[in-house]
Amino acid sequence: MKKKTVRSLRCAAAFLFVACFVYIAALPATSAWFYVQYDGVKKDFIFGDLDVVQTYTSTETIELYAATKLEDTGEYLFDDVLQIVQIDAANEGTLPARVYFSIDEGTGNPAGLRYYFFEDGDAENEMLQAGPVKRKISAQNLIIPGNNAATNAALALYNFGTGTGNSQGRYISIAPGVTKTLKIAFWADYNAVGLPSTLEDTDNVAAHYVYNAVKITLHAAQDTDGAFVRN
Amino acid sequence: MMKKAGRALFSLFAAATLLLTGFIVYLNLSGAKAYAVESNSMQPTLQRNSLVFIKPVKSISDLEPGDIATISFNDNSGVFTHRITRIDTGKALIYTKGDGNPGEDPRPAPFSSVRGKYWFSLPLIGTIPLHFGLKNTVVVLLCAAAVLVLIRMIFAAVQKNKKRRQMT
Repeated sequence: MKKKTVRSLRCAAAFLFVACFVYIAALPATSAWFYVQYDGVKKDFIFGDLDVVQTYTSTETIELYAATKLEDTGEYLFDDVLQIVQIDAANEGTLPARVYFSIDEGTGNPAGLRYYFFEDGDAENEMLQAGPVKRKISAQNLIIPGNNAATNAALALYNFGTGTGNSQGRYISIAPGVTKTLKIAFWADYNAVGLPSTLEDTDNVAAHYVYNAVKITLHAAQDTDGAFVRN
Repeated sequence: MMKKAGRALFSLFAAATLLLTGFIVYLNLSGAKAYAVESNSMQPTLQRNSLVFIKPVKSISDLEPGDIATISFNDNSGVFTHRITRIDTGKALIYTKGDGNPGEDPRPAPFSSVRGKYWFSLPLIGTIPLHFGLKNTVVVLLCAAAVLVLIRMIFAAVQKNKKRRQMT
Protein backbone atom coordinates (compact mmCIF):
# COMPACT_ATOMS: atom_id res chain seq x y z
CA MET A 1 0.00 0.00 0.00
CA LYS A 2 2.75 2.38 1.00
CA LYS A 3 4.65 1.57 -2.20
CA LYS A 4 1.58 2.32 -4.29
CA THR A 5 1.08 5.65 -2.51
CA VAL A 6 4.71 6.61 -3.05
CA ARG A 7 4.47 5.64 -6.70
CA SER A 8 1.30 7.68 -7.16
CA LEU A 9 2.87 10.68 -5.45
CA ARG A 10 5.90 10.39 -7.68
CA CYS A 11 3.74 10.30 -10.79
CA ALA A 12 1.70 13.26 -9.59
CA ALA A 13 4.83 15.29 -8.81
CA ALA A 14 6.34 14.47 -12.19
CA PHE A 15 3.13 15.39 -13.98
CA LEU A 16 2.87 18.70 -12.09
CA PHE A 17 6.50 19.48 -12.82
CA VAL A 18 5.99 18.89 -16.52
CA ALA A 19 2.82 20.98 -16.50
CA CYS A 20 4.64 23.89 -14.86
CA PHE A 21 7.45 23.69 -17.40
CA VAL A 22 5.02 23.63 -20.28
CA TYR A 23 3.18 26.63 -18.80
CA ILE A 24 6.42 28.61 -18.60
CA ALA A 25 7.42 27.58 -22.10
CA ALA A 26 4.11 28.85 -23.47
CA LEU A 27 4.40 32.35 -21.94
CA PRO A 28 4.14 35.18 -24.48
CA ALA A 29 6.91 37.66 -25.13
CA THR A 30 7.00 41.35 -24.46
CA SER A 31 9.19 43.35 -26.78
CA ALA A 32 9.68 47.01 -27.13
CA TRP A 33 9.26 48.22 -30.64
CA PHE A 34 12.86 49.24 -30.80
CA TYR A 35 15.93 50.21 -28.94
CA VAL A 36 18.92 52.18 -29.97
CA GLN A 37 22.37 51.11 -28.99
CA TYR A 38 25.45 53.19 -29.20
CA ASP A 39 28.66 51.29 -28.84
CA GLY A 40 31.50 53.64 -29.65
CA VAL A 41 31.98 53.66 -33.38
CA LYS A 42 29.56 50.84 -34.12
CA LYS A 43 26.03 52.05 -34.60
CA ASP A 44 23.04 49.75 -34.22
CA PHE A 45 19.43 50.35 -35.08
CA ILE A 46 17.40 47.43 -33.80
CA PHE A 47 13.66 47.36 -34.17
CA GLY A 48 10.90 44.88 -33.51
CA ASP A 49 7.36 44.57 -34.74
CA LEU A 50 6.25 47.82 -36.29
CA ASP A 51 3.01 49.34 -35.30
CA VAL A 52 4.29 52.83 -36.02
CA VAL A 53 7.38 54.04 -37.80
CA GLN A 54 10.47 53.59 -35.65
CA THR A 55 13.37 55.97 -35.90
CA TYR A 56 17.04 56.03 -35.17
CA THR A 57 19.03 59.25 -35.11
CA SER A 58 22.74 59.86 -35.22
CA THR A 59 24.49 63.24 -35.38
CA GLU A 60 27.71 63.23 -37.34
CA THR A 61 30.48 65.58 -38.35
CA ILE A 62 31.21 65.07 -42.02
CA GLU A 63 34.77 65.96 -42.95
CA LEU A 64 35.59 65.88 -46.62
CA TYR A 65 39.07 66.47 -47.93
CA ALA A 66 38.07 67.39 -51.41
CA ALA A 67 35.03 68.17 -53.48
CA THR A 68 34.10 66.03 -56.43
CA LYS A 69 31.77 65.81 -59.37
CA LEU A 70 29.34 62.91 -59.53
CA GLU A 71 28.29 63.86 -63.07
CA ASP A 72 31.88 63.56 -64.33
CA THR A 73 31.95 60.00 -65.63
CA GLY A 74 35.71 60.31 -66.07
CA GLU A 75 36.25 60.92 -62.32
CA TYR A 76 37.64 57.64 -60.99
CA LEU A 77 38.67 59.04 -57.61
CA PHE A 78 35.08 59.78 -56.54
CA ASP A 79 35.10 57.05 -53.89
CA ASP A 80 38.37 58.31 -52.41
CA VAL A 81 36.77 61.54 -51.21
CA LEU A 82 33.68 60.03 -49.64
CA GLN A 83 32.90 59.76 -45.97
CA ILE A 84 30.73 56.74 -45.35
CA VAL A 85 28.63 56.43 -42.22
CA GLN A 86 27.70 52.85 -41.44
CA ILE A 87 24.79 51.64 -39.31
CA ASP A 88 23.81 48.05 -38.61
CA ALA A 89 20.03 47.73 -38.76
CA ALA A 90 18.48 44.62 -37.27
CA ASN A 91 14.90 43.55 -37.78
CA GLU A 92 14.00 41.65 -34.62
CA GLY A 93 10.32 41.61 -35.45
CA THR A 94 8.36 38.93 -37.26
CA LEU A 95 7.43 40.90 -40.37
CA PRO A 96 9.50 42.32 -43.22
CA ALA A 97 10.43 45.98 -42.82
CA ARG A 98 11.70 48.87 -44.88
CA VAL A 99 14.28 51.37 -43.70
CA TYR A 100 14.15 54.89 -45.19
CA PHE A 101 16.53 57.70 -44.38
CA SER A 102 16.47 61.47 -43.85
CA ILE A 103 19.26 63.98 -43.55
CA ASP A 104 19.16 67.25 -41.67
CA GLU A 105 22.19 69.10 -42.99
CA GLY A 106 22.43 71.35 -39.95
CA THR A 107 22.82 75.09 -39.94
CA GLY A 108 25.82 77.21 -40.81
CA ASN A 109 27.43 74.52 -42.93
CA PRO A 110 28.82 75.06 -46.41
CA ALA A 111 26.52 74.23 -49.30
CA GLY A 112 27.01 71.22 -51.51
CA LEU A 113 26.63 68.24 -49.18
CA ARG A 114 25.37 65.26 -51.16
CA TYR A 115 24.54 61.75 -50.04
CA TYR A 116 23.57 58.31 -51.23
CA PHE A 117 21.96 55.54 -49.14
CA PHE A 118 22.92 51.94 -49.87
CA GLU A 119 23.68 48.54 -48.46
CA ASP A 120 26.60 46.22 -49.02
CA GLY A 121 26.13 43.97 -52.00
CA ASP A 122 24.01 46.41 -53.97
CA ALA A 123 26.15 45.96 -57.06
CA GLU A 124 27.35 42.68 -58.45
CA ASN A 125 31.06 41.95 -58.38
CA GLU A 126 31.49 44.84 -56.02
CA MET A 127 34.94 43.79 -54.96
CA LEU A 128 36.19 43.62 -58.52
CA GLN A 129 35.11 47.08 -59.57
CA ALA A 130 36.97 50.29 -58.99
CA GLY A 131 34.90 52.98 -57.26
CA PRO A 132 32.07 50.73 -56.11
CA VAL A 133 29.95 53.55 -54.65
CA LYS A 134 30.02 55.54 -57.84
CA ARG A 135 29.28 52.34 -59.73
CA LYS A 136 26.24 51.70 -57.54
CA ILE A 137 25.00 55.24 -58.18
CA SER A 138 25.62 54.83 -61.87
CA ALA A 139 23.69 51.55 -61.88
CA GLN A 140 20.64 53.46 -60.69
CA ASN A 141 20.90 55.71 -63.78
CA LEU A 142 21.28 58.79 -61.63
CA ILE A 143 24.32 60.22 -63.43
CA ILE A 144 23.55 62.47 -66.33
CA PRO A 145 27.03 62.97 -67.79
CA GLY A 146 28.24 66.55 -67.61
CA ASN A 147 24.95 67.84 -66.20
CA ASN A 148 25.31 68.76 -62.54
CA ALA A 149 21.79 70.10 -62.04
CA ALA A 150 20.08 67.12 -63.65
CA THR A 151 22.30 64.67 -61.75
CA ASN A 152 21.53 66.34 -58.43
CA ALA A 153 17.83 66.40 -59.24
CA ALA A 154 17.88 62.69 -60.10
CA LEU A 155 19.79 61.94 -56.89
CA ALA A 156 17.35 63.93 -54.75
CA LEU A 157 14.37 62.20 -56.36
CA TYR A 158 15.98 58.80 -55.86
CA ASN A 159 16.82 59.50 -52.21
CA PHE A 160 13.56 61.08 -51.11
CA GLY A 161 11.00 60.66 -53.87
CA THR A 162 8.38 63.33 -54.23
CA GLY A 163 7.36 62.72 -50.61
CA THR A 164 3.79 62.00 -51.61
CA GLY A 165 1.86 58.74 -51.80
CA ASN A 166 4.08 55.81 -52.59
CA SER A 167 6.96 58.01 -53.75
CA GLN A 168 8.94 58.26 -50.53
CA GLY A 169 12.33 57.53 -52.00
CA ARG A 170 15.03 55.04 -51.35
CA TYR A 171 14.44 52.31 -48.85
CA ILE A 172 16.21 49.11 -47.97
CA SER A 173 14.15 46.03 -47.15
CA ILE A 174 15.08 43.92 -44.16
CA ALA A 175 13.50 40.53 -43.60
CA PRO A 176 12.59 39.40 -40.06
CA GLY A 177 15.58 38.13 -38.14
CA VAL A 178 18.03 39.76 -40.54
CA THR A 179 20.68 42.39 -39.84
CA LYS A 180 21.96 44.57 -42.66
CA THR A 181 24.79 47.05 -42.77
CA LEU A 182 23.33 50.26 -44.12
CA LYS A 183 25.63 52.94 -45.43
CA ILE A 184 25.29 56.57 -46.33
CA ALA A 185 28.01 57.99 -48.52
CA PHE A 186 28.62 61.73 -48.21
CA TRP A 187 30.53 63.93 -50.59
CA ALA A 188 30.90 67.60 -51.37
CA ASP A 189 29.65 68.77 -54.73
CA TYR A 190 32.44 70.63 -56.49
CA ASN A 191 30.01 72.93 -58.31
CA ALA A 192 28.41 74.03 -55.08
CA VAL A 193 31.41 74.42 -52.77
CA GLY A 194 33.97 75.86 -55.14
CA LEU A 195 37.73 75.68 -54.78
CA PRO A 196 39.45 75.84 -51.41
CA SER A 197 40.62 79.35 -50.58
CA THR A 198 44.22 78.42 -49.78
CA LEU A 199 46.72 75.96 -51.18
CA GLU A 200 47.91 73.38 -48.74
CA ASP A 201 50.86 71.26 -47.93
CA THR A 202 50.15 67.80 -49.35
CA ASP A 203 51.90 66.23 -46.38
CA ASN A 204 49.36 67.79 -44.09
CA VAL A 205 46.02 67.70 -45.82
CA ALA A 206 43.18 69.14 -43.81
CA ALA A 207 39.51 68.58 -44.30
CA HIS A 208 38.34 71.50 -46.39
CA TYR A 209 34.64 70.90 -46.23
CA VAL A 210 33.36 70.28 -42.74
CA TYR A 211 29.69 69.80 -42.09
CA ASN A 212 28.86 69.91 -38.41
CA ALA A 213 25.88 68.37 -36.63
CA VAL A 214 24.55 66.57 -39.67
CA LYS A 215 21.63 64.55 -38.39
CA ILE A 216 21.03 61.16 -39.94
CA THR A 217 17.66 59.61 -39.24
CA LEU A 218 16.65 56.09 -40.22
CA HIS A 219 12.98 55.26 -40.29
CA ALA A 220 11.83 51.65 -40.09
CA ALA A 221 8.33 50.97 -41.33
CA GLN A 222 6.29 48.01 -42.51
CA ASP A 223 7.30 46.67 -45.90
CA THR A 224 4.23 48.05 -47.66
CA ASP A 225 3.80 51.05 -49.89
CA GLY A 226 2.39 53.94 -47.96
CA ALA A 227 3.68 52.68 -44.60
CA PHE A 228 6.11 55.57 -44.39
CA VAL A 229 5.27 59.16 -45.26
CA ARG A 230 7.81 61.96 -45.11
CA ASN A 231 6.59 64.85 -43.01
CA MET B 1 22.04 5.01 2.08
CA MET B 2 21.01 5.25 -1.57
CA LYS B 3 17.37 4.90 -0.66
CA LYS B 4 17.63 7.69 1.90
CA ALA B 5 19.31 9.98 -0.60
CA GLY B 6 16.66 9.10 -3.18
CA ARG B 7 13.89 9.87 -0.72
CA ALA B 8 15.48 13.20 0.22
CA LEU B 9 15.87 14.16 -3.43
CA PHE B 10 12.31 13.25 -4.19
CA SER B 11 11.08 15.30 -1.22
CA LEU B 12 13.03 18.28 -2.47
CA PHE B 13 11.70 17.83 -5.98
CA ALA B 14 8.14 17.44 -4.73
CA ALA B 15 8.41 20.53 -2.54
CA ALA B 16 9.81 22.61 -5.41
CA THR B 17 7.09 21.38 -7.74
CA LEU B 18 4.39 22.13 -5.20
CA LEU B 19 5.74 25.63 -4.67
CA LEU B 20 5.91 26.28 -8.38
CA THR B 21 2.41 24.93 -8.94
CA GLY B 22 1.07 26.98 -6.07
CA PHE B 23 2.70 30.09 -7.47
CA ILE B 24 1.28 29.55 -10.95
CA VAL B 25 -2.20 28.91 -9.55
CA TYR B 26 -1.97 32.09 -7.41
CA LEU B 27 -0.79 34.03 -10.45
CA ASN B 28 -3.77 32.94 -12.49
CA LEU B 29 -6.30 33.43 -9.70
CA SER B 30 -5.07 36.98 -9.01
CA GLY B 31 -5.30 37.89 -12.69
CA ALA B 32 -1.57 38.52 -12.90
CA LYS B 33 0.27 37.69 -16.10
CA ALA B 34 3.83 36.86 -17.03
CA TYR B 35 5.78 37.82 -20.15
CA ALA B 36 9.24 36.97 -21.37
CA VAL B 37 11.32 40.06 -22.09
CA GLU B 38 12.48 39.86 -25.67
CA SER B 39 14.44 43.05 -26.21
CA ASN B 40 16.82 45.41 -24.44
CA SER B 41 14.80 48.60 -24.49
CA MET B 42 14.23 48.53 -20.74
CA GLN B 43 17.83 47.94 -19.79
CA PRO B 44 19.20 48.04 -17.16
CA THR B 45 15.88 47.68 -15.32
CA LEU B 46 14.64 44.66 -17.24
CA GLN B 47 17.15 42.40 -18.86
CA ARG B 48 16.48 40.45 -21.98
CA ASN B 49 15.39 36.86 -21.25
CA SER B 50 13.94 37.76 -17.87
CA LEU B 51 10.33 37.04 -16.94
CA VAL B 52 8.25 40.06 -15.99
CA PHE B 53 5.09 39.68 -13.92
CA ILE B 54 2.34 42.25 -14.13
CA LYS B 55 -0.82 42.88 -12.17
CA PRO B 56 -3.98 44.21 -13.80
CA VAL B 57 -5.03 47.81 -13.17
CA LYS B 58 -8.65 48.85 -12.88
CA SER B 59 -8.44 52.54 -13.69
CA ILE B 60 -6.01 55.11 -15.04
CA SER B 61 -5.65 56.52 -11.53
CA ASP B 62 -3.88 53.27 -10.55
CA LEU B 63 -1.01 54.34 -12.79
CA GLU B 64 1.47 57.13 -12.30
CA PRO B 65 4.60 58.39 -14.06
CA GLY B 66 7.51 56.16 -13.18
CA ASP B 67 5.44 52.97 -13.18
CA ILE B 68 6.32 50.27 -15.65
CA ALA B 69 3.34 49.14 -17.68
CA THR B 70 2.69 46.41 -20.22
CA ILE B 71 0.72 47.72 -23.16
CA SER B 72 -0.65 45.91 -26.20
CA PHE B 73 0.06 47.02 -29.73
CA ASN B 74 -2.81 48.67 -31.59
CA ASP B 75 -3.52 45.52 -33.56
CA ASN B 76 -3.15 43.27 -30.48
CA SER B 77 -0.36 41.36 -32.19
CA GLY B 78 1.83 41.64 -29.12
CA VAL B 79 2.74 43.71 -26.10
CA PHE B 80 5.54 45.96 -25.00
CA THR B 81 6.66 46.88 -21.49
CA HIS B 82 7.96 50.39 -20.92
CA ARG B 83 8.07 53.03 -18.21
CA ILE B 84 5.32 55.64 -18.04
CA THR B 85 6.68 59.16 -18.47
CA ARG B 86 3.42 61.07 -18.34
CA ILE B 87 -0.30 60.51 -18.32
CA ASP B 88 -2.97 62.56 -20.01
CA THR B 89 -5.93 61.73 -17.81
CA GLY B 90 -8.27 63.90 -19.89
CA LYS B 91 -7.64 61.89 -23.05
CA ALA B 92 -6.76 58.66 -21.15
CA LEU B 93 -3.41 58.46 -22.93
CA ILE B 94 -0.21 56.96 -21.57
CA TYR B 95 3.20 58.21 -22.75
CA THR B 96 6.01 55.73 -22.35
CA LYS B 97 9.73 55.35 -22.77
CA GLY B 98 12.12 52.44 -22.59
CA ASP B 99 14.76 52.98 -19.90
CA GLY B 100 17.38 52.05 -22.45
CA ASN B 101 16.04 54.39 -25.15
CA PRO B 102 17.07 58.00 -25.55
CA GLY B 103 13.56 59.31 -26.12
CA GLU B 104 9.88 58.70 -25.55
CA ASP B 105 8.06 56.14 -27.65
CA PRO B 106 6.74 57.59 -30.89
CA ARG B 107 3.10 57.42 -29.97
CA PRO B 108 1.10 57.41 -26.70
CA ALA B 109 -1.09 54.44 -25.91
CA PRO B 110 -4.73 54.58 -24.86
CA PHE B 111 -5.40 53.36 -21.32
CA SER B 112 -7.60 50.63 -22.79
CA SER B 113 -4.44 49.03 -24.22
CA VAL B 114 -2.77 48.74 -20.84
CA ARG B 115 -2.59 45.08 -19.83
CA GLY B 116 -1.12 45.70 -16.40
CA LYS B 117 1.44 47.29 -14.13
CA TYR B 118 4.84 45.84 -13.27
CA TRP B 119 4.86 43.64 -10.18
CA PHE B 120 8.26 41.93 -10.19
CA SER B 121 10.63 40.13 -12.53
CA LEU B 122 12.83 37.06 -12.50
CA PRO B 123 16.05 36.93 -14.50
CA LEU B 124 16.85 34.34 -17.15
CA ILE B 125 13.69 32.22 -16.90
CA GLY B 126 12.35 33.95 -20.00
CA THR B 127 14.97 31.99 -21.95
CA ILE B 128 12.64 28.99 -21.94
CA PRO B 129 9.71 30.55 -23.81
CA LEU B 130 11.90 32.80 -25.95
CA HIS B 131 14.56 30.40 -27.11
CA PHE B 132 13.08 26.94 -26.59
CA GLY B 133 9.39 27.58 -27.11
CA LEU B 134 6.55 25.26 -26.33
CA LYS B 135 7.28 22.64 -28.98
CA ASN B 136 10.94 22.15 -28.13
CA THR B 137 10.22 22.10 -24.40
CA VAL B 138 7.64 19.34 -24.82
CA VAL B 139 10.07 17.34 -26.97
CA VAL B 140 12.88 17.77 -24.43
CA LEU B 141 10.63 16.75 -21.54
CA LEU B 142 9.37 13.70 -23.42
CA CYS B 143 12.94 12.65 -24.20
CA ALA B 144 13.96 13.21 -20.58
CA ALA B 145 11.00 11.12 -19.42
CA ALA B 146 11.90 8.35 -21.86
CA VAL B 147 15.51 8.35 -20.66
CA LEU B 148 14.41 8.21 -17.03
CA VAL B 149 12.04 5.32 -17.73
CA LEU B 150 14.84 3.50 -19.55
CA ILE B 151 17.25 4.04 -16.66
CA ARG B 152 14.60 2.78 -14.24
CA MET B 153 14.02 -0.33 -16.36
CA ILE B 154 17.75 -1.07 -16.58
CA PHE B 155 18.15 -0.49 -12.85
CA ALA B 156 15.21 -2.77 -12.07
CA ALA B 157 16.57 -5.47 -14.38
CA VAL B 158 20.00 -5.25 -12.74
CA GLN B 159 18.42 -5.50 -9.27
CA LYS B 160 16.37 -8.50 -10.34
CA ASN B 161 19.43 -10.22 -11.73
CA LYS B 162 21.36 -9.55 -8.51
CA LYS B 163 18.58 -11.05 -6.40
CA ARG B 164 18.39 -14.12 -8.63
CA ARG B 165 22.16 -14.67 -8.26
CA GLN B 166 21.93 -14.27 -4.49
CA MET B 167 19.19 -16.91 -4.36
CA THR B 168 21.17 -19.45 -6.39
